[in-house]
Amino acid sequence: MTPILEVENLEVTFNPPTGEVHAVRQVSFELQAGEILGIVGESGSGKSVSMRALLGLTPTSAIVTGSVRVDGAIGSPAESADRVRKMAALVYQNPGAALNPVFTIGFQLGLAAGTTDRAALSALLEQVGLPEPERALDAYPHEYSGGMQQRAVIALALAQEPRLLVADEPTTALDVTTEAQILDLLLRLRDEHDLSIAFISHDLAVIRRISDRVIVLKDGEVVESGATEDVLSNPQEPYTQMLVAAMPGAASPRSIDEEASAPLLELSGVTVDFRRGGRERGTNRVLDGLDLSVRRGETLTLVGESGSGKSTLANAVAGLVPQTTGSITFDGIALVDPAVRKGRRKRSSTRRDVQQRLQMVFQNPLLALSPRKSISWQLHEPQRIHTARDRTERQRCIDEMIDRLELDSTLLDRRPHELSGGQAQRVVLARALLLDPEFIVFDEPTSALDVSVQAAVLDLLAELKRDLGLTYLFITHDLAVARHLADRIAVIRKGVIAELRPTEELFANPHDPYTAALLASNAALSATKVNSTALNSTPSGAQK
Amino acid sequence: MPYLLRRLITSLLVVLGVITITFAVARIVPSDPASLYAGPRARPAQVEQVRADLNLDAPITTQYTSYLGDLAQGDLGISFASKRPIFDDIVDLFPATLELALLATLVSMLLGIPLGVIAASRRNRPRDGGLRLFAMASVSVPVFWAALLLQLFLASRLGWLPLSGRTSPDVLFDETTGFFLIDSALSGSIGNVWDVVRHLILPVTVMAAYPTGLTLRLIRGSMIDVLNEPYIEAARLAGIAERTVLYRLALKNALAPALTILGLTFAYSISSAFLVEVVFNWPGIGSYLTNAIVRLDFPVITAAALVVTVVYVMVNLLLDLVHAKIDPRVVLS
Repeated sequence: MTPILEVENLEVTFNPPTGEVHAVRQVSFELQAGEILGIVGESGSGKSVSMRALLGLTPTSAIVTGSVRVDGAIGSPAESADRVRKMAALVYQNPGAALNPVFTIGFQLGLAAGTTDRAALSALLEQVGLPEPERALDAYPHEYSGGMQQRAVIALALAQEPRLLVADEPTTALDVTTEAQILDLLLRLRDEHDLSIAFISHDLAVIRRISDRVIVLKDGEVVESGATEDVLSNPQEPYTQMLVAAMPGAASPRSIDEEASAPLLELSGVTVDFRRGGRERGTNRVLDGLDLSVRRGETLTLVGESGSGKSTLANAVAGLVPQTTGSITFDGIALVDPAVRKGRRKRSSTRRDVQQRLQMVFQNPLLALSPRKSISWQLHEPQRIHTARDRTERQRCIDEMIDRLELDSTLLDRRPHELSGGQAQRVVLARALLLDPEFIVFDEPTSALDVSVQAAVLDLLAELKRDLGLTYLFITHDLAVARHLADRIAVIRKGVIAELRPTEELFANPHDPYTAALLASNAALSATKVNSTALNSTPSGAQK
Repeated sequence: MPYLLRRLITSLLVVLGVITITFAVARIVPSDPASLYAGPRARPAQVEQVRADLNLDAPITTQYTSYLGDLAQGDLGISFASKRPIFDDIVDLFPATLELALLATLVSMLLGIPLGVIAASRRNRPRDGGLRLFAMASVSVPVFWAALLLQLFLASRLGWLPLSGRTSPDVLFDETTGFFLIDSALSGSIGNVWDVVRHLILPVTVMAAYPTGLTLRLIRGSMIDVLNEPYIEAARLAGIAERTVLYRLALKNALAPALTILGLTFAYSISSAFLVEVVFNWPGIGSYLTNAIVRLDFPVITAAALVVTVVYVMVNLLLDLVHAKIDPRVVLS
């Protein structure tokens, strides 16, 4: 069997004024007819660039070398680009952007297929499982959900009668159910058309499901390649092992960090007294000599009834409670120092250094955002204070972040009241994340949101933590939420920690009677909620 | 409430606001309308007579309401200078201005849009540089200066084009529509049409300069954005001809954001006509208003302001409707 595409020693070098960047080095692979090749790597590993270089889509300033053999005809990447383009079609990550918004799907399909025959065009749409293909021909892209748009994009690709489909993260922008459908569609098309697919993804679960062989890229180099099952079940290279370990559902990363990690945040003997005004003068002891340590990389969830001191603890950690006494240490830096006279706060410069690394997300996003300033302004401001980024750099970070949090860039010009609750909470989250924090304190971040949005936000938080290596202190009164997210749970009662144990252990066998009572009272209430959060059913996530 | 009705009502409110402001300004300026109307050599008794006749001694609120009532009936008042109803003057003169403005807008779009596309598709290459220079120059050159220079060289020195006016004195035809291009064509004489065209070339060129440069730059900018979109890359990958990609697939996307400004350039042309008409001795609203300003002919000034306002408002409304037509994502509500 001769491969339809053979690539040898592909190199792509960019030459910006800041110095050469070797985006792709010595990449070689081959692709058989009807084969699905998974191209895996983290962002920046060169997986997209290498495929784009083969299609001649890299900027003209990029230097592309190597040799490419298409159907036996061998040449440099530049010489072969036309041949590859003739044979291949591209499926994009964001289907909304890959369809021209001001023309009907039928018109675009007709141009790509070179025909105006409605029967032929609707047959194409039928093939990709778009319901009511006749009607879809006259519809505009925005009338469809992301999954349906991706089907239309695949139809557009098929219209070119390709032998090779380059799929660049085609399911990343879709929710899980739709993702599965699109993967099934691609597998079926492969069988029906003997199509080869180069499937680019950072998601190993997706790769495992769809690809026959896989190449793993790191910093532009192939570190491992082979049959998908072999590579994923028995990775040889440390990098691949790391990727596999980070895969959800595989060997749990929780158990890895659990013992080894040093505490990032340590509280000991933390006490907060609030003065009571009015007739009964005196003090309220809200936190009473509380000890707690949060390990780097974990999610510690703090549960408790209202009035138990949860929020005060969060505020004390964030430095918002000047009355705090005892000792709070963040990464070895004393925020509240027992040696310093009571009631005195730490020098503000230390605070400022730590502030950037330690961010807070509040319960009500609309109260945490200034109602009078645009979202854009509010995302610039903390960066202006805490970072050395210039305006364009800040804007770039903001664009990346809103993209990452699946916010629309049109939000930037709005004011908080023009956002939905879920959007506003994402903006607050973006504001915190823009400072590249290591530690985020969440004070009931989802209790002001409705259930479906809550699930989406929780999933997002879990994903961010995994990708950015964050540590969370998460405060909630909702045990279902706690269970969904937490590595360990601390139960707080009357200003002290009543119990602190790994999540499943605590749920299986609560030691403290107070915890047991809390669990019992929550059990009935949360039965439905556990499902909705744990099963990740986010109807709102599908539409954009 | 239907979108159109709602928009018409708000448009009416805008017009009403402008009427009120112009009315107020005309009364604040320290001059006596009665003595202006009566003329410089009128005796005080005659001035008082005029004041009573024109109802100028009535309280200001009464004057305002009766003014509104007259406007509602299409009565724009009487010119102090000519003593003719202003409405009749405007009906006579407006087509001349409209002909200039429409042609200037047409020319600026026919030139600016394709040149903008070309500049964007050759971004940062010599042709783009040349076009940007052209755009910059045509936006920056003052209208009156360009007009005088063109008159000096093309009309006076070289004698290729007529200096001013809408027709040569010996060319006569029926002014049925007031649009001389149409009227001359209706007269059936090629010579007449050619004479009208020759008279149009210089004023239209001068008026089209600014909108052409603006259009070029706007289209270039929004085309550059659109050409970076994945759907354009996808279209090119699918082997669709570059011409189709640029002028059909990309341009329609690029037009939408530029459209608002493009439409406003038409309204701008109406006001820039004032200067051009004076220089080219063009018997339109602009010349009429300029004369009125010199003579403090307030009813004419307010009426002209009103006409320009109505044109602006209507063009804006029309633009929104066209925008919705171009971009299916726009919902009028």
